[in-house]
Amino acid sequence: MRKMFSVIYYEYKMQMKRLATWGILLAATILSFLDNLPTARNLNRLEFLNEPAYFIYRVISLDSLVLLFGLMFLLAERFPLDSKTGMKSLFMTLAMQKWQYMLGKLLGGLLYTFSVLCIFLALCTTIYFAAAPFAISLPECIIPFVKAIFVSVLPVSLFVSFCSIALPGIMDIRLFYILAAVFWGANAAYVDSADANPFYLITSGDLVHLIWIHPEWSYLDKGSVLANGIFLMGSGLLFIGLLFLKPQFWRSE
Amino acid sequence: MHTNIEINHITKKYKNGVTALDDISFTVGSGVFGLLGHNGAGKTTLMKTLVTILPPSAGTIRICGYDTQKQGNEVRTRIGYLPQELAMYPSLSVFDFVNYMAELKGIRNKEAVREVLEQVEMLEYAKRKIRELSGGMKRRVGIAQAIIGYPQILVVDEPTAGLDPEERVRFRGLLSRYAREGRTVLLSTHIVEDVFQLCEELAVLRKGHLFYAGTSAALMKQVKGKVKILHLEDERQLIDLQKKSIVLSTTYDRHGIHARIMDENALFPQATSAMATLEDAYVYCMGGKIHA
Repeated sequence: MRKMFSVIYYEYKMQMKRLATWGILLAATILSFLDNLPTARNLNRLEFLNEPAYFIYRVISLDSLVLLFGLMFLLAERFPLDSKTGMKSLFMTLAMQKWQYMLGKLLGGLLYTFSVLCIFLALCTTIYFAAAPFAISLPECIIPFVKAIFVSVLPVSLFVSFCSIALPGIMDIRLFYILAAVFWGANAAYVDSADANPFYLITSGDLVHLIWIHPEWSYLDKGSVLANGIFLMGSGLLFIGLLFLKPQFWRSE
Repeated sequence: MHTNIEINHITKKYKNGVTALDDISFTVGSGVFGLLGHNGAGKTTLMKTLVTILPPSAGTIRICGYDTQKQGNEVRTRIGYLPQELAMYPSLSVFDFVNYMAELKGIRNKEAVREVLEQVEMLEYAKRKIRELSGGMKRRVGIAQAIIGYPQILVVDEPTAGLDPEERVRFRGLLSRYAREGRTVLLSTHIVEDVFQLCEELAVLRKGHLFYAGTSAALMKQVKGKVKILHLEDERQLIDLQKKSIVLSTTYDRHGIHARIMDENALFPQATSAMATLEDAYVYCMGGKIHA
């Protein structure tokens, strides 16, 4: 177990120290502010922007997709890079088991994605709270923020990190990039409606409606919420399973 | 002499039909042991079967008495490995990288990391990022992660390739010091000079076969008194010479061509005798005359 924790720690450290991580975070934050900062123009454009829950819902469902797309690229190379640099060969000569190496990489990536997404959400929420030209209380921001962490940030981080790290270990990374770009594009193009959202949406599925829901579409399909949650958590775990089962990934024990 | 590595009838065949190793057997005791061979001879494949990355198709390897296939973890706790290509993690500092590898070996002692960095003369660069290091410095960090914990067996694959002369001398000193106190360093290289400087014993691989295994002195004895230098006027004479004798090396200057040859049967009385070197013996070996 200690070896797995070492892999987690160093994976997390390496990813968090990358300039690209902070560049992507900055870009996503700027885009979010352009879209959601409670300026007069935005308040005129977005009917519910004076509600903190709506703001957090919007940041998570739309703007975080940009952030996650960028993080996906940074996560996808973790296994292929180890193979290319000779590090994987080196790891195989150590008294370390396959599951320690794999889980260490995956959980390190999960911790990284979760941290960056939390920082992004916290940054946006803090500036919204500070910049709002109307009165809002701290609990009005904190409650939807905490909800967002549990109903969206956690499952989304699991999905994005596990898929981005595991799939390039199974398939050619270029194929993964193409599939991911198509999938992300489909997510970005989807327009919210009163109907139950498709389960395969990453950040704008019905899970995110637990943070805020349109007052005119107040019915929330519980089945759709569950399906979205199962898709996000289940896909990630499925791809880990496939990776574990892949022959020739590790030395023969 | 205590045997630390026993290689018994090792064969490695890949799925594409290539036989990388064919019935290789030899033993290695303490000290620095050289493994020589051209590119594609099977050296790296043999290294990888030794350090348990690749399973052999047939045969067994025992490291300190432990079977690499059946007792893999016991073997892995006794080996340190420096692969031929090791890019490491560019964003980590020197200290962090070696500490990471130490933790994966079960060593949670920062003082041990500092000690090993001092041995490879990298302590003053401990905070520098891997990407900021020169090629020689990276290789030293590579050795540091291999020797941390002082494993009984150190396997180094082409450690001095591409290094400048100063770094190569430093590296040789490192490996030589490490092999004291009963440890084994298995040095795989195509640079004969490294083997000559460091190794009392060596093995020569050629196209997956073991061509020679024994002492450097015995190998050199095969060519002692038979190496000569012949002066030639032009390429045509060189081509004629190559039909009659084994040409070990050629140098060109404004006076013509100096060919270093194996004159086993004294066919060239006009040639000048030269002191045989390990390189001569190795090249002669590759010509196919010496058997294991």
